[in-house]
Amino acid sequence: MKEVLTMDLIEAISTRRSVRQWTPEPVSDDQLRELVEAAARAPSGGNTQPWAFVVIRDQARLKRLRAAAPGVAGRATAVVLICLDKQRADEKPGTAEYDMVHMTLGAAMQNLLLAAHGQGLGACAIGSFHLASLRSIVSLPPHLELKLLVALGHSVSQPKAPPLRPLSEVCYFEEVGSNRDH
Amino acid sequence: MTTEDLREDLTLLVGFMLTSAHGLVTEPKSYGPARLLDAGGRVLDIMDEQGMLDDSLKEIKAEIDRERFGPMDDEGFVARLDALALRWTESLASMF
Repeated sequence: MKEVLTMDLIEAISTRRSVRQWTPEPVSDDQLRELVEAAARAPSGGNTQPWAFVVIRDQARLKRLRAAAPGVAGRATAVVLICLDKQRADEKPGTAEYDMVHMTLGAAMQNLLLAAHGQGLGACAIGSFHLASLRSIVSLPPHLELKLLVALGHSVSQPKAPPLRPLSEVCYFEEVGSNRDH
Repeated sequence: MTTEDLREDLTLLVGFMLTSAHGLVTEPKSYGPARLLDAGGRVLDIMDEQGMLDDSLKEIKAEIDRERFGPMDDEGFVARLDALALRWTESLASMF
């Protein structure tokens, strides 16, 4: 059983793509709740859980968001804003905690992307947005700092796999430079 | 599509161009061409909804959309942009 589950997870990781074009079919609230639950299961340093998620599925608000977030190329039917909750974590650059909270939010993002893929949805992580405009659109309070968006919906098609660097170029065993032939 | 719809789409497009202009300064340089391609694609989306595209322009729009919505792939990107620009210019010959 364990082996089967492992294979499924690796398959999900391998077949996930950044999807940027969606059909008009809406994503249900139950699906969106499940996605955010998956995101909030990410590991966090000291179990700080330094995040807040804002889910947008109202069409009028999505239109304004797409104008303020140039990274959202297609007409997503839902967008999840991943925010750092500064009341739960130190956001001073140069501290170890600062680095950790950003990695934590990245882990939450990846959980969300994989969960969306598992639901048969297509999603794309986006860092291109005009911060002040986005803050205005969703009335973000000062203690929440928007870090990432995940735009999602039902995919028009499965994009082709992007070129990947070979493992031999990015992975070493024991010592750097020791495994160029592996 | 009504005039009000068109007004709304164009207003949103201006918003996209303004926030993209800000991004051109603050984001990686390589995002710039993608934003311009996307702007062109968004204009063509509006024209399509207005019934303004003939078959030739729809074909070019499909190529632009492949770049807009596909994975970022630097290999051959400049050559594809070059070909797109030429195709668009040639399509103008039948209009002007």
